[in-house]
Amino acid sequence: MPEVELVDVSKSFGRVKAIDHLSLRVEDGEYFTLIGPTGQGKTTILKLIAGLVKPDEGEIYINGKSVTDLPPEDRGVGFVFETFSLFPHYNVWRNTIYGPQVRAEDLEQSSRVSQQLLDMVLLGRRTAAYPRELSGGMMQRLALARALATGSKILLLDEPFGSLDAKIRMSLRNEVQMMVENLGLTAIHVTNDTEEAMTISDRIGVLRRGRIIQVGNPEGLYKQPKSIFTASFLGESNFLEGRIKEVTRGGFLAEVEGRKTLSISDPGKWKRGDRVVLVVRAENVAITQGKPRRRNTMQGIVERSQFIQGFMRYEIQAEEGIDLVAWIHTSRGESYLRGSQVFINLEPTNVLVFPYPEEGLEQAISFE
Amino acid sequence: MGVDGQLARLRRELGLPDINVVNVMKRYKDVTAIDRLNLNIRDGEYFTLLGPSGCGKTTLLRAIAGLIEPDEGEICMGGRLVSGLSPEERGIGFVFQHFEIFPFMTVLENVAYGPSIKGEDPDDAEKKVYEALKIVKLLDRSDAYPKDLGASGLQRCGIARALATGARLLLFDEPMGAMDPKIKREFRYELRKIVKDEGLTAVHVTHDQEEAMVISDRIAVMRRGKIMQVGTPLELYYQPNSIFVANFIGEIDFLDGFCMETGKKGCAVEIRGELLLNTCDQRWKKGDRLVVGIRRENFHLELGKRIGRNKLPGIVKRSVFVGPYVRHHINLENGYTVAVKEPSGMAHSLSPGIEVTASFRPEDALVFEYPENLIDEMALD
Repeated sequence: MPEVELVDVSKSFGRVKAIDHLSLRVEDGEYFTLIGPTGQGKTTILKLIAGLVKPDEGEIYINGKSVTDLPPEDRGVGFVFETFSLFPHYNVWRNTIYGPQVRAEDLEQSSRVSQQLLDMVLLGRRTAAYPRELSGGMMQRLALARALATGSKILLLDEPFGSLDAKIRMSLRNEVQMMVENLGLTAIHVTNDTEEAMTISDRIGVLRRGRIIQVGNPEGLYKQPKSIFTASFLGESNFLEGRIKEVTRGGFLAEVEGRKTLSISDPGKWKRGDRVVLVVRAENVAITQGKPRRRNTMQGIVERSQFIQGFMRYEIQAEEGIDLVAWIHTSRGESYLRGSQVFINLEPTNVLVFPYPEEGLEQAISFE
Repeated sequence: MGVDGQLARLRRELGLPDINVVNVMKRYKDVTAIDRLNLNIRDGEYFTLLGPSGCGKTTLLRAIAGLIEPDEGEICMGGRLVSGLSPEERGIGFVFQHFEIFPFMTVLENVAYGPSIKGEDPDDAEKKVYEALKIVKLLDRSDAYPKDLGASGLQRCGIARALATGARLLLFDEPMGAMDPKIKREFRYELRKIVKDEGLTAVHVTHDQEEAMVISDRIAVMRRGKIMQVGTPLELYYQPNSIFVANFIGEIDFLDGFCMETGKKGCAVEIRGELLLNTCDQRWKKGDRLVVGIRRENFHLELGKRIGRNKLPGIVKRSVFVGPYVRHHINLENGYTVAVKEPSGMAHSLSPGIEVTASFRPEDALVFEYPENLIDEMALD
């Protein structure tokens, strides 16, 4: 039952508080992913679990037993860190088979597993190469194969696909996920690629300033973010400052950027005069050539149009100085060039509402 | 503007290539990093080298920079041979993923370092430094230290230093490799804008397909030391010349079979399970063995089993919610698997085991000749 638990863990480096009274439980067999901006404690959490860093306060449990004072090699954890820590004087093969060998496992069996893993990470033909002869992406793949070869039940992955191209990343992440599932491993994965996190995870934890601000399954986090930060970190969104102008039967009216009135259906208990931030996902901004007979319609001009594999991304300057970003799936056919006059429509149910943050909007979505 | 400047302007007006890579070969022991490669990069172009790790893109960039000498072949810049010339003599500014910025110097000192080591007249140097900082929007941060800059600030500082040396050609090696995706998304617009506004030429190495598509005028897709295709982002996406390129950029599924009918509108391909696929491709004749690629966003999904041309019935394996879209993985009746990307606002809600049909329009079929080794053609290295 290799579940992993951190209870009230804190860790400072000098005056910087990297981890701030953090508690987290990852269940047996779960694929758990930590996301968040660079430098906010993701890697430190993995290092704490691995035993490479000791907490100042709090306890860490694996299988229900405290491992806080155990060295890394006694924790039964395999890890892949961004800085690969490969043995420079060993070739690809010896790097991979090192773990099974020092544990004196059946040589034939571990050879077979190592070869399979190297094939999986597309290094099966480069077994004689030394790390210095490999590219950054190849070293990353080797580190992954080596961690899997150790046979540990808990796998810690720190940006394991970071320097790989999107295509290999997609295929490797599927393989790793399948392997975790088939072998019943528990994986804790750190990434700042939100698509990767959404695709592979059972649950995701959003980390900011040394704290976990929300944990949930991918769809839940995306559709019901509890904070502006979570909404901004996953996907691309538009943030509009406004005030509640009127409470209506199905929701309320909000005045945006001081001028434009939008109709919103939101279950929140808002009062007239409340200062709010309206969040609209870029893919929920609809664009048409002709004027739609619907609420929340604005006129706008396409300022920039970009093709992003399957989507067109438009930056639009709408009425009243409102800037909006829209993602339109290319299968819908129409596309608009820079300078085109368009109409924008925001569906009232697609607008998320948050109270205006005390620290200000910019701070609330800042990566610092 | 000296003779070189006039030449550059003339080349730009005539649309002549500024960098010519001719038959360049570079070997490391038994590995051929670049394999008799030819390439033209035009003056004023934002050009990207894209490919899987180990494909030789960084080696090619280093050869252009003059950091390594090719074993064979030649590199010309502005019509002159540059073999044996150092990067400075080639007029190149180099920006790496890991910023080569001195932590103990301010932004201003870092940027001034380039011109001052070149021994320029202090007044000229100061003017160049000022101009460079203005271009990268760091004038108000000139007294800051690198640690206070953040990832994109550091890269802008690196670019300013390159510009201050008078470089007109900027080489970027994964300049956004260490950035958060959000910051990356902003920075790539800035980077392109700087290059375009200043009329510079940029050669950019990346493994990030999306970055390449958004930032580039043209892209060279590389594999195993060779160039597979050069084209604009849209050309590569909609007219890939090989299965490898089609597979490497975007998400796609392949079905293979034989050309059964040819007509004025295109050919029909029969795949396993006696399914007929209409395409708009007229290059093939009856009996040709072909591979048909369909981009995942171009599939249209219907509930239930439908029969007919371009209709692929199957069973839902699983659906994954990825934010702006949902990816449905489908086991087709004929044994193939495909995935369908639907925008999440209008996506079907499907549980595993449900019967569905994926269909596509003939104009969305990408048709290729069946290669000698399909698995190798689709391999990602």
